[in-house]
Amino acid sequence: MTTFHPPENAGRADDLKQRYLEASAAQSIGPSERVRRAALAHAQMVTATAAPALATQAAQAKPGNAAAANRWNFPLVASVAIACIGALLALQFDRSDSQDKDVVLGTPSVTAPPVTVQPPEAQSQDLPQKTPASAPTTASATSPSGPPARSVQSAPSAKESALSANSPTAKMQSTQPKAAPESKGPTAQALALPAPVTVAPAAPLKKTETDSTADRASADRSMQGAPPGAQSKASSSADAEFTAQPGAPAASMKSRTAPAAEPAAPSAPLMGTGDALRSAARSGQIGLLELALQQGGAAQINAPDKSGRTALMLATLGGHIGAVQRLITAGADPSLKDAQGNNAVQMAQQLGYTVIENLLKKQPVAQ
Amino acid sequence: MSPSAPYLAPQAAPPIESLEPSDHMLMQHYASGQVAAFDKLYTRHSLGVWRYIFRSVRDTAVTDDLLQDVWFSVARQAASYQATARFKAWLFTLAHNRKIDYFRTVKNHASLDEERAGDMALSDTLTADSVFGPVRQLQSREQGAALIAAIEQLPNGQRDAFLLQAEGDLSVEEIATACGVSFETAKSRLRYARSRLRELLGDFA
Repeated sequence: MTTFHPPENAGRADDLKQRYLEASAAQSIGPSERVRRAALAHAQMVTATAAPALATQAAQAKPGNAAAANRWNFPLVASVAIACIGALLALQFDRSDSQDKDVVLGTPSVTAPPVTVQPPEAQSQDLPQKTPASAPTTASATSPSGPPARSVQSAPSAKESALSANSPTAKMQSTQPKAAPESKGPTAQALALPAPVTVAPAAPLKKTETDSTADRASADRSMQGAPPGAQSKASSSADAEFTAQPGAPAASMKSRTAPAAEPAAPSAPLMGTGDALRSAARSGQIGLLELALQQGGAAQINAPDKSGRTALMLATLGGHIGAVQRLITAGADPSLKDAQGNNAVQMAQQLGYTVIENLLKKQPVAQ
Repeated sequence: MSPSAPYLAPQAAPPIESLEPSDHMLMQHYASGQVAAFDKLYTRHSLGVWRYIFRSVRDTAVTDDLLQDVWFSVARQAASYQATARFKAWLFTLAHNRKIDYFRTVKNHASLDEERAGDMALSDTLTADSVFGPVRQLQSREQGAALIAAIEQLPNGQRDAFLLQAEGDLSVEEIATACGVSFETAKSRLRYARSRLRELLGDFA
């Protein structure tokens, strides 16, 4: 603290102060009584106003006030964060490609030949195309579907089932036998088909491929939201669609509802091994990738899609380090180029994926 | 306590009235809701603050209004009052700021006194010309009035410094804080104020 050093005439200064105080006292002037009353009245008003505020502060500071406790902050934030993550997962699933959705939803793999329904009786080439689309639907519509069929058909997500139940496609499918009497023949044949036989070959694949979290989450959500009757009906119809044409995009269900116009071979794989491999690589799901490699995808590991992109390129574009490692281990060639002339290394460089770039550079690259 | 224990007569406690609570204690009491403490503070300091304002305003009605505003501020800020400085210094700082606000509002205050410490302003020359006024008042045995007149003729900064020390008994640091100037500036203003008063009062100082 700085001290003040009085000047040499401090005594005279003090004298001035004393003389000033005496002169001021002799003036007999001062504040009026009005000021005193006004100040006291204001002081009382301030005190009366501050008392409720202080009481409010004290009430808020009470430990028994659960709403004001800080311990709720963390659970609240955590709940919001979990809800946001779930919403993002659902959104990402909705935005994903149809192939990815088919893979995640557990549609039968291309390596399983008997995916499509083949009636035991000999049929023409055209009939089986209608049969898979209509057989499970009618089966589930006409029969109570029962626990065995329900358990087998649990693979497609209930969310998709609920969507399909409300969609015009589902309505069209459910009403198709009534509205289109010309398709009575195949439908009748489908009615003759036993429903478990129709779905049974695809069941093990669905069981193994529906382990994804998004699928389970969406299934849980729709199970909670939809009424049981409508849910089972909707899921049955959706199962029928996916069982009939698992490789088709989910958004193009209308095209699937007109199976007679598509002269596709009933026993042809609806999703190639290369497609499954690329879908798994694009989504970065190691389990699906392993499954695709085990089921013959290793032979088509360098097979490009329409854009000339291989599974390694797709995994690189997605930034999936694990998928890239697995594909390199499986023998993927990083030197292949897509339609634009970029190979996986260049893609990683452009995207700034240094780890993936280093992984790819360990492999011989043909520039 | 056993009945055979000697009875000790209680010693006479000092009367409560003789224990003058400090300004800080009175503020705490008022903050807890005792308006009587505020009344005691007002009684203790209102006259000094009033005279400090009056020496610059020179109007009793305006001084009353400004003093009322000062005590309104004291009442409002009592809940958040922190004893980081003397109550008296804080009170006179409020008064000083209120006075400055008043002069900024009315804009009828001469800007002759807006000089910095150590500078010779026009007001200094004017007061030098009128040096014989207070002297004549002193000679006519109105020394007190002459001194007050001399004080009122001081430049604002010097008058504030002198009055804050005389009325509020503020230290130089407290004066510097109240006026918003540095320690050296406040010290210079005090020195110039005393020199000017001695000059105005002449041999009668």
